[in-house]
Amino acid sequence: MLSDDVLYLPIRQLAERIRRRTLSPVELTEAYLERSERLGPKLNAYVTLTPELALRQAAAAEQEIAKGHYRGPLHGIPYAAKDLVAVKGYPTTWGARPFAKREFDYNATVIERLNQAGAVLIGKAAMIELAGGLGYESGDAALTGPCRNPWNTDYWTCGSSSGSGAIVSAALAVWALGSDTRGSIICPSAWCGISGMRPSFGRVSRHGAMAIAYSMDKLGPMARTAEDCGLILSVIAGHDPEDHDSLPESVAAFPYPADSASATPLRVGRLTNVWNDAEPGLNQVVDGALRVMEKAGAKVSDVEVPDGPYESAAELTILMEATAAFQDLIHSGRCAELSDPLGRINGYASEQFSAAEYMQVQRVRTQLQQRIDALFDDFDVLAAAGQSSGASPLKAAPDAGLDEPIEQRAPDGISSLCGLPAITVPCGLNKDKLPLGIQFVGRALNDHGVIEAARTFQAHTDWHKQRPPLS
Amino acid sequence: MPKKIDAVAAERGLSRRKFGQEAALAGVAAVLGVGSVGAEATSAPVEHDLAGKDEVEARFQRVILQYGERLSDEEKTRIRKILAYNERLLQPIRSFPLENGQSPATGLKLYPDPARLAGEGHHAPAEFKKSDRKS
Repeated sequence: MLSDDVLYLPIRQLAERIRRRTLSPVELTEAYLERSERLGPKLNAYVTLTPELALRQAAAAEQEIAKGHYRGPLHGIPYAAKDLVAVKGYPTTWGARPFAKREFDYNATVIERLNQAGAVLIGKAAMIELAGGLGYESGDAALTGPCRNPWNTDYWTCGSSSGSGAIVSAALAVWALGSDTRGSIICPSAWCGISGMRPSFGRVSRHGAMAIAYSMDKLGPMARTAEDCGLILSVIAGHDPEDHDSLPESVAAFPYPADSASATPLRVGRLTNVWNDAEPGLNQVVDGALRVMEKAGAKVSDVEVPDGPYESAAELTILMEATAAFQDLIHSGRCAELSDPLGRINGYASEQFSAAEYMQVQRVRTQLQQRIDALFDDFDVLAAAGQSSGASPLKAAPDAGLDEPIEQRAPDGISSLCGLPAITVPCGLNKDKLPLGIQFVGRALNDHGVIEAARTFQAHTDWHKQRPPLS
Repeated sequence: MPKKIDAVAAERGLSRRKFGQEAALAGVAAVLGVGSVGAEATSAPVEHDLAGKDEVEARFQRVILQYGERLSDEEKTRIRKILAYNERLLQPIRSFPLENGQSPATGLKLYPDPARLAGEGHHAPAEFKKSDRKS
């Protein structure tokens, strides 16, 4: 049986061993399946394991590579997919009771791309029901129960890509596919101590993936390193005529590494007016991370997010579009089958928004996009803490945050609203020994920029090599 | 314990949790004539908030008319709080200065795809063909 040291290796190193045939894809898959069967239930990390498919794909990879047909860095690499992407022959539950037994007779485009790359699907990752599309109050809002954080199983992973975060953190697979409408890759990646990336809007096809908010949904990688995210994105990115918002191939395609590296120092803008409610010690951790960036040659200076109702626009867009996406569930009353009390009724309230209000939000959104884009005239990436704190306990105090204001400048709300690429990578632990992250946000389509910023940080630190105390 | 909620609030779903909690505050704010705490809504005039309160009530009545039979008393109370929160979200949008020609972030996508007509609209990398697909 392979050691944990092997199972925690990033894609680049595993792929090199597979290519050289010093590591068997079948053996690797069996090891992750065993670990997934043993630890997955403790974390509520999976909805469905797919051992038959995984072993078939792994055997095919092994045979192809033995014959000299090596497809690339994901060939023979086991991964998990959030259970909102369609996989033919298996349930695709969207994490929600009304769809617990539903199957699609086709694969999502992203799954097809991964099949073509020779990747090995070992399971469908747990998630918040409907990815939070109709709202939720806690991590309990999941078909498979609350997803537990491998760093401390009394704590939550965050959502909605909760299982994807737990799976990568606990080395139940090499990487996992997540989705992000407003922070659903960034938050669980930060809380689980992994590297997670939300690509630019339109770069990765969503055909065959559950829609929440058509103008905000993105699929993206959750992995060990920023480089892994780049390798995965190079496979899953590209134009797809089946996705209305898919970018043209000339901009959607993502060759990695980039054809040419920038010769000028990376310009990093430290966001100084976000996360005003940061947990004690967090800002010092992020400052330390940015000092690492400076020592690595980056130019770091302060910048403020311009005023604007970013969070309002993001939340309203999601509420309004989700009401359309889940109209059948709302009208039929089957939303009552959801596990979360808020999710059961939220759609009724959201239906009361008017078309004029939707258009007004979208008009404001354009203006906010321009305000944020102007920041990138001076900076390649913007940097902030991945979240305002480490993970929260699964059982939250019922009156917590009662008098909290709306945080209009939450970085992942801003970047999600504007369709910008973002990545978070681990940069420390808090007093509870839970991971903290630093996130880099880039101009639209500068996905290379955010990966390179994070890769630079990881080249000079080893936080991404830390493992949770889970056995 | 603000720490927990603050962390969670970064993620959209958790905002939804805060949602229910803040809705109670929003209800109080509306009664007191206090504007939204959103950056661009704090200067909203009192009459705007009163109008907002009326709007919340009107929307609540529409929900009850359409879905009242499905909702428990507790859920009805909660619906009103949700609507109050939604009103808080809307206030800074309504007060955002816009001119007539400033367009929304929505747009008609032309068919056929202009990129395709220009010859670059191949659907996927050359090595990716549907006939090669496996499951």
